[in-house]
Amino acid sequence: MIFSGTVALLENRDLGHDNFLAVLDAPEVGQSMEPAQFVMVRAGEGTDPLLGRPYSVARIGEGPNGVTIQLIYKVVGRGTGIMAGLRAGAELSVVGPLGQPFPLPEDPQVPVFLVAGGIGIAPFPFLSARLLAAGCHPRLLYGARSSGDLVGRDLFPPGIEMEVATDDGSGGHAGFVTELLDRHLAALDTRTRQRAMAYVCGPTPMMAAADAVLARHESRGHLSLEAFMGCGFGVCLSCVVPLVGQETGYARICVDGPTFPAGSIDWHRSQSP
Amino acid sequence: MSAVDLTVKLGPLTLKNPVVTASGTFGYGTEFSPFLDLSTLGGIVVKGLSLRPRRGNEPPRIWETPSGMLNAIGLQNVGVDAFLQEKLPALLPFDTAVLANVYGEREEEYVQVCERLDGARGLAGIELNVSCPNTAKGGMEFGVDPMMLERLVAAVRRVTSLPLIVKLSPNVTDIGEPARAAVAGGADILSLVNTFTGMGIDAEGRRPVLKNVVGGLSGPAIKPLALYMVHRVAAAVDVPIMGMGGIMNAVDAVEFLLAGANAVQIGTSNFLNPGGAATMVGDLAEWCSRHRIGEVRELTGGLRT
Ligand SMILES: Cc1cc2nc3c(=O)[nH]c(=O)nc-3n(C[C@H](O)[C@H](O)[C@H](O)COP(=O)(O)OP(=O)(O)OC[C@H]3O[C@@H](n4cnc5c(N)ncnc54)[C@H](O)[C@@H]3O)c2cc1C
Ligand SMILES: Cc1cc2nc3c(=O)[nH]c(=O)nc-3n(C[C@H](O)[C@H](O)[C@H](O)COP(=O)(O)O)c2cc1C
Repeated sequence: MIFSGTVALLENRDLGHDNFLAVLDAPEVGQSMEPAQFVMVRAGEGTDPLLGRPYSVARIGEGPNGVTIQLIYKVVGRGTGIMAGLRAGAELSVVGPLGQPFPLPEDPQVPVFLVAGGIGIAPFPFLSARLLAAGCHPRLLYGARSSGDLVGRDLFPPGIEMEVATDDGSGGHAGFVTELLDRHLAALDTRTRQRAMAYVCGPTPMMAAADAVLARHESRGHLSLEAFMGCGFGVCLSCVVPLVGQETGYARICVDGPTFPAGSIDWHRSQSP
Repeated sequence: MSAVDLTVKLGPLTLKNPVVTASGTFGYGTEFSPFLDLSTLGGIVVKGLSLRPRRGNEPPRIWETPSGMLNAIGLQNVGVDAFLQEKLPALLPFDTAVLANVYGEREEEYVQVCERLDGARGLAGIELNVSCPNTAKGGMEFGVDPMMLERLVAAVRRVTSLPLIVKLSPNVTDIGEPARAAVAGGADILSLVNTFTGMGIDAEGRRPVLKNVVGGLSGPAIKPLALYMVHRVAAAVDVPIMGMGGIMNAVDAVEFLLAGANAVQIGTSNFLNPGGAATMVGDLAEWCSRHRIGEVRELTGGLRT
């Protein structure tokens, strides 16, 4: 079964720059959750806003009734704005876990890169914990507009190497995070490069750029896509994306994704205005 | 409490309770198995079926509005043959009425789809979605021209003996007219309403919010309009009615029954509350028992005016 019901907000921590960490008392959701899976959350009462909003689970924690799920979110509109105004004790309606998780590398010895853009950092603390447990040594490449937007680094388990990039040069590499990925892959010998694995989550243009970098280096990877979703479990048919070699149809980001193997998205068709 | 009789009879179609899930909001049914027991539902209307599979419109396909949503999915579906081979058999184990929603761009397409559906094992009825642009008639909706609608329903009636539901478009001046036309063509049951044509505009970008420009509005925002239309159709014709439009809970359902519906369909609510339709069945029984109503069908048309 997939949980659908109300859960209590245990904590809603301000991370600065419009970013928050919400801790939800949701053992039924958290116990079977995998990295990059998401939950649909409705904050607030009544029917406006009407639809749930998708959030990745950033961390699984310990709570009073079992595990908690922890979300990192950025205020960008009404749903996230209402959530940011809630205090501990508020009730949220939650559906999940939903979607296909990031698959872990079969061989823990390959180089593993976590490539995050902005709030795309969300699934990576959880993925890092699972990768470390599987014996992998992931390196986080984290890009944002400005250094103040590089939130959530303290939510990662110890032992993750991190490098940052900012558009305005206020922290780390001045430029795009995909340039860091490119640099790292270019430094590997061909055989290692072809076995390297990248996990990517961020705004759509950044993911398209990362996908191109991976293709150029013949490296492997998985992207976690973004979309406005109506239901989150495959029936409203709104969050569709065209796949390469599938000229006659669409994949649903919510159930066929949100994770897709690198090289599978038809960016040309998906970005036609 | 369990003493309440929830069964409803809609002409040739008997439902064990009046709660049915609406087309396009419930997939092919089994997508909801992780959330509820499909056998608790009175019925399931599957996603609109066309003769061939359809890929649907380019995204963005939906947009949220105050207490509602606009959609222009473009009837993405697996096609009638895949439905019969893969989707319908998967619903056989469940004790619920499975209704196929049918879509066509021309009269012949409706007829061909219904011919294939007729006699299919496990199918309890057919619902015609007539809110589709008629490509042979320059894209005008079948449901808005009473003469065209009567002809279409009569043509389908000739090829199937299954209970025939005609789902009315609300995009008309007087919904009584297409209601009478559908009945004259041979409809056993009317369902209403389908979505209201609408649009949204992004002022900053000076663009329509949907790629398709226009879409259909659903959800609580349309409930007062839908209640009125059910009330109006109940006065205009004598056939049973399935009412819908913005139903989110059992009390909303009761309102539709009071307006004149014999059963209700739950649409947009399934997206945000995927187990909700099953909860409504229990809540409806509880509501009836609290109001000392022994048979849910007593509510139909029970409006005091
Ligand atoms: C799988 C997945 C996981 C995610 N995880 C996270 C996460 O962990 N943390 C996080 O902060 N965010 C995450 N997001 C993004 C998050 O869901 C959105 O930021 C959120 O839905 C915004 O809701 P809102 O009501 O605040 O904004 P809205 O008011 O809905 O609007 C925000 C923006 O979206 C646009 N928009 C609104 N409706 C539509 C539509 N129908 N189609 C296209 N654009 C539209 C608006 O114009 C506006 O620019 C995730 C998204 C997905 C798909
Ligand atoms: C995303 C979406 C897809 C729909 N697809 C269909 C369809 O294929 N056939 C149909 O007859 N109605 C379709 N409808 C209309 C619904 O069945 C229903 O008539 C309408 O949404 C009003 O009910 P509601 O307010 O409870 O959603 C669709 C509605 C939505 C929101």
